Amino acid sequence: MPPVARSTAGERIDALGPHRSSDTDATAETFLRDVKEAIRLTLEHGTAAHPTAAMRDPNVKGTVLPGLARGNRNASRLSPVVNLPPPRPRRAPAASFHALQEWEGYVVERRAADFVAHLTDLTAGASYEQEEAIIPLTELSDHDAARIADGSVFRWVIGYERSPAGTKKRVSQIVLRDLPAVTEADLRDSEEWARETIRALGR
Amino acid sequence: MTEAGTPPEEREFELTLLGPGYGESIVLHVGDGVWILVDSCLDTDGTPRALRYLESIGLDPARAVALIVATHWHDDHIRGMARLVEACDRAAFCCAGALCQKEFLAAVHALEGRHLSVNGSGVREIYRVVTRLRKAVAKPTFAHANRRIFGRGGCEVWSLSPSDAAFQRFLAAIGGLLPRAGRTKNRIPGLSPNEAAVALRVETGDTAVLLGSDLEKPGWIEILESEARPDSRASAFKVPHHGSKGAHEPEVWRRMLDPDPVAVLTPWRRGGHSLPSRDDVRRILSCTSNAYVTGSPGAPAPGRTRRNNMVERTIRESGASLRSLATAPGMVRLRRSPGPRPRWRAEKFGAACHLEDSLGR
Repeated sequence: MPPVARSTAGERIDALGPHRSSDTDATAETFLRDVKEAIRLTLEHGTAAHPTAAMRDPNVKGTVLPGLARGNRNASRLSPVVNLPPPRPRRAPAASFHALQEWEGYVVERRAADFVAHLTDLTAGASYEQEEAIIPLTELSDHDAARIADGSVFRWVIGYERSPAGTKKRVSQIVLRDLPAVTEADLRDSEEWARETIRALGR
Repeated sequence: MTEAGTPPEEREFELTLLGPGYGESIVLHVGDGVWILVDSCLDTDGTPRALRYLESIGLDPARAVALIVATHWHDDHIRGMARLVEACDRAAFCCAGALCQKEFLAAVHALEGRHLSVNGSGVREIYRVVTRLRKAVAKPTFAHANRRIFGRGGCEVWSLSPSDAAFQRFLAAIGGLLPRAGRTKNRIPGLSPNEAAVALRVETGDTAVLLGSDLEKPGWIEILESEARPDSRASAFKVPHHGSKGAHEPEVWRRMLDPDPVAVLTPWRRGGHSLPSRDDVRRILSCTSNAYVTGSPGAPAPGRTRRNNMVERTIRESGASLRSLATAPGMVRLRRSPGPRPRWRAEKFGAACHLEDSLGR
């Protein structure tokens, strides 16, 4: 009597030893049953284009068809507990943005319809401001336009945006930077630094 | 810019005004190889122009410079100041008294510490200067009205401002500088009223010059009313605040300067405004026929940034306009040798010109 293995669900499976070549009918029957099961699972989950895809998928846990996967017809166990990956959403082509020019700026004067700013050319690797811009407030979002003030720091990027459909358009975007706020600890450190400085400067 | 040539003779007085780039800086030779730097500006490549000038006439700034003065903390006067202090580490340093105010220093540290903007907080140069001064052996001198801040050989340097009242107004103006906890660190828009700027009088033998910084009219009136100021007249004048009307006080020309003195100034521009205006030019020319400017405010900087056509088109379509902050660099050099009838000899370099000629540009 060949050894009998039972699946966790209690299904009886004939496990074939490696040298039981005389029992070819049983082997063929087991193989066909395994293939049918794989086809059923695949159709149910609708993920694989080929019936054996589920077998090849390393993410499929519990699909114990090692023999089949490796081309070994002496597969011994099949678990009915199959966890197929969730259906993969079809990946749409992503939108992309390519920056051609980037500045960091600060506002030196906010006026009724525009603002004056000094700009540092980040694209050119500049380390200090070398240009002055007069920019209409309409270039800002409503939220940023409402809060922009003298001293506000912003980034200005010009580039082109490619949509998922492949169309390309020029984009100019100015966004205010919300820099980190001063903390109580900062203020304590600063007062200490000021005291030390006055001592060091001999006052 | 044209070669600056050779250094002055040992007893020759020199006043060189370096203009934009961006800002202004003054280099003085007061005799016997003693040099003084007043304020700092940068060349288009980021080098302090005063250092570059001294090197161009064959001097080592570390040995030659005896005094550095920061007249006020506006960024067109202090760009590169920390590098000057570092390069001239034997020089004395002088500025207005804010650097001994705890509230001011705490604000500078709180604003600049861990500031994540490329451009800094607006007090970055001050922070760097103070950090450098903390390590220096020599302690800074603080300028005040009618204070002798430097003396060597026959040379004396006097600060004529700020007065007590102007300094108190300055302190009140910076009272709100210290940020509150929880508040975003933006850049501070401007540091001080110009009336707290340090005006200087530099005198060697029979040559005296008056350096007006950005001091505006109320500050000049306080100087004129002061009985303690040195009362001899100067023969050369660095016109205050780029020749603006707000810094013009006719009594300064009448009571503190020789008739028809040599005047020098730098241009300035921001947000569509520029100085000196045509009216300013005419007013200054009514006070002296010997006025020179380091460049025309409308002249573009050389080597304008060229960009991708698409970027240029997008800027135009957005309605924005961009222009260089710097105008073409220029320099006016005045030299005067002692003698029975000493006269100033003016040389113009780069974009510099006679003030009258700037009207035609």
